[in-house]
Amino acid sequence: MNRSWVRRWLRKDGIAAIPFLAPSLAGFCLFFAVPLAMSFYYSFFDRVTDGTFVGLGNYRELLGSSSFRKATGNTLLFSGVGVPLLILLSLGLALLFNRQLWLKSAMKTAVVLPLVVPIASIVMITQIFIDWNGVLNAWLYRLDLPRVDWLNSDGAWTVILLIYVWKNIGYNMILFLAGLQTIPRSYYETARMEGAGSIRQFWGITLVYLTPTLFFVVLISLVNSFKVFRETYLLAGAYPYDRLYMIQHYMNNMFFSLDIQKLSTAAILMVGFIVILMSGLLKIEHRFLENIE
Amino acid sequence: MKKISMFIVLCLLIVVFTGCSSAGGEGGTVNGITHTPTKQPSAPTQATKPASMPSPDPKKQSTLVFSMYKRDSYFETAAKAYEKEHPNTKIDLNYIVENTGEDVSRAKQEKFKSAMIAEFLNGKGPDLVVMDELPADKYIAKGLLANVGDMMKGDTSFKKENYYMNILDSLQTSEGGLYMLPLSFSLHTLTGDQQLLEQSGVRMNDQSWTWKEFLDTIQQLTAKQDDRYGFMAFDENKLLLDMARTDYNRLVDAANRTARFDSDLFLGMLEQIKQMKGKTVLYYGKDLKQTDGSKGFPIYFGENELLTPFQYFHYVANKQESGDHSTAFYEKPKAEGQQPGGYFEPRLKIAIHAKSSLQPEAWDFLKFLMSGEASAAAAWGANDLTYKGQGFNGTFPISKSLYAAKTNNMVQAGPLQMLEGGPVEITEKDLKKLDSLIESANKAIFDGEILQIMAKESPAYFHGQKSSQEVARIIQNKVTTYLNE
Repeated sequence: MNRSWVRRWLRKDGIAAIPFLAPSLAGFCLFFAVPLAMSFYYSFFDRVTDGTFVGLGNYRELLGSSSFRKATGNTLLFSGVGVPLLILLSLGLALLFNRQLWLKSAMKTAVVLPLVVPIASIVMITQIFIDWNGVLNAWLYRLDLPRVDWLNSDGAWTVILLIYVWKNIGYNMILFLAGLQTIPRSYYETARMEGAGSIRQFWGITLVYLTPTLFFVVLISLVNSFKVFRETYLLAGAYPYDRLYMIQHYMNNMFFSLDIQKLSTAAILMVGFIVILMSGLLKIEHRFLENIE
Repeated sequence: MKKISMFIVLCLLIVVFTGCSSAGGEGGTVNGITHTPTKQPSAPTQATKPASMPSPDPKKQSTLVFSMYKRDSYFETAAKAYEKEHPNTKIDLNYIVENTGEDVSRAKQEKFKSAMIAEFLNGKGPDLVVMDELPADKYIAKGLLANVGDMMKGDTSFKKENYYMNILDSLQTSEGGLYMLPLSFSLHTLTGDQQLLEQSGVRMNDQSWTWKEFLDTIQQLTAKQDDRYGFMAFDENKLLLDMARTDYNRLVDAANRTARFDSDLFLGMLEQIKQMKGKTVLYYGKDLKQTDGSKGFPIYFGENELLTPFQYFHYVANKQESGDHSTAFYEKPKAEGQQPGGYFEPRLKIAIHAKSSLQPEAWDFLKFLMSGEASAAAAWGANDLTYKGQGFNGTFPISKSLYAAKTNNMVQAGPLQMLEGGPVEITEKDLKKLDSLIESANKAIFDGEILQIMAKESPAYFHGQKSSQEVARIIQNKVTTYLNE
């Protein structure tokens, strides 16, 4: 009686899935879940080994640090400007490539290509461009304009923004193209027969059915906007121009200052922020889909 | 349910993605010796009196882990000699590079720094570590290094008179702790022709002068004659570093987290350095080629970093060759009201892990390293001149007896063949002069993130790319960010 129950239980799909899930689950725990839990724990102590509980002391200290506030503001600004800009541009490109176009595939390739360029090469080319004796300044000089130290001026922010857009536009475009292809042609035909113009079609059909894709693209763009730290760090070091000093700089510098408490606290705050942002986005998406149905 | 778990996974993924990117990255900052003279507010205050260090248990089997960035052959010979003397102790030497030439991008140095942080924060770090590439002030503030000064005081077998205590004492933190012991050091001095300077009639006092007084002096000197330059410095940036270091406490207020790089003091430094260029001050790297020496450019003052005793005699001989009457060494300018004494740069600074279970053993080995008993007995001749390959064996040792033994060798060996010019006889009198130079050194050359930020940005002004205000503003912003992290 008992044995047959076990046998039945073992035959279930859920059990069969466990061995297949185990490796990724172990990896997930090892690299994501456990470190996060440890960071959470450390953020309440004053020392990593035999520290004492300080409650919210680390959080208070962190929020009191003007450099942390600066880093947060810069990160928010960069993502706040970069993500919408990137999405607008890549959506535009996707709409462009969704119709018949001369040299379409060649152009598509050109847009996607930055995706496979290694960071080291991007950094080197950028350096050649924005160096004091670089290409950009040579152009300025030819136009009789004063030269600019790009990495130590507000221009640096634009440079990093351009790198971000250039690097990610191809990937987003592919995602949008895939999304566009799932929208049935018949919807447009019906709309056209009903007399809807192309703008009405875009708002009423394209954007509505692209929403799940859009949500995913926002997410990926956000993640990638955080990743632009690598380029910034390689270009400008641990203490870049004020505008470029991101939350990752702060965390990286805290690591090299052996301040794991502040590092963990900053990470936890960032997680908290992302969780709130994501739940907001999810809720919006959920409501939106409900409305469609 | 499914949706919630998906959501959590997504959030975690984002965090991990961003985390990955912050861990990566090569190149980056070059962090050299960091010894900040300012207060370390969170440094552990040792309330306990230095207890006498228990001598290591000779019967206990132990393995001391000794980590460093760069290999030094002295450590290997010393470890072998120590293991022979103490059969129960094994020394486990770990280094990352044979020499710095194989790590031009500094990627390995960055790796060493991260590895040490991870190990120390785990409480598993090495028993002994060479701190030359690590930010020592940060380690001290986190209480990760043992107070070796206390160990020294508590050990009756440690003979203070055998060591240059002027060097060791000046490496103490403001709370009186000593967390690193340098095995060797170099001397930073000014040089000049004594006879010529006396004849000039310009009054000067190198025991107390500030940079302002020194620069006034050379201006007076050059006003009298026209064919001589006042001072030959290495380069603008190094001169700025020297000046900023002496006035460090006026530029940086670490306790209140404020910087004053936008002050007239700093702007004045920048502008003066540029103004004097080519008029009263020359810069070695730019204005003349290495091979010229100073022959083509008669000067009143030069600057020098002495790495070995031989270099001292070589320099003097070289100067005589080029027509100096009597070469003398002067103290570099210092902050106002600072006590007299020259500058030195500590090298091979060794620290003991505060959580090491083998502290008595580690201290015993460190003591052995300091004594220099195992040092190669080679004389400091012309062949040993290059500091690079020599490491410890080619520098001024912290141990007086080792220094005496080696200089004695040099005297005994008779006239030394110099690279240029004929053999030079080294007398006891010459050695006395060098001795007093060492004995008077009491100001450590320190480095740190702030000075490095400054040194990275200021060339833009010296090269004429930006105004002094612009450069000062950028430095001020970056240093403020650093101080408020």
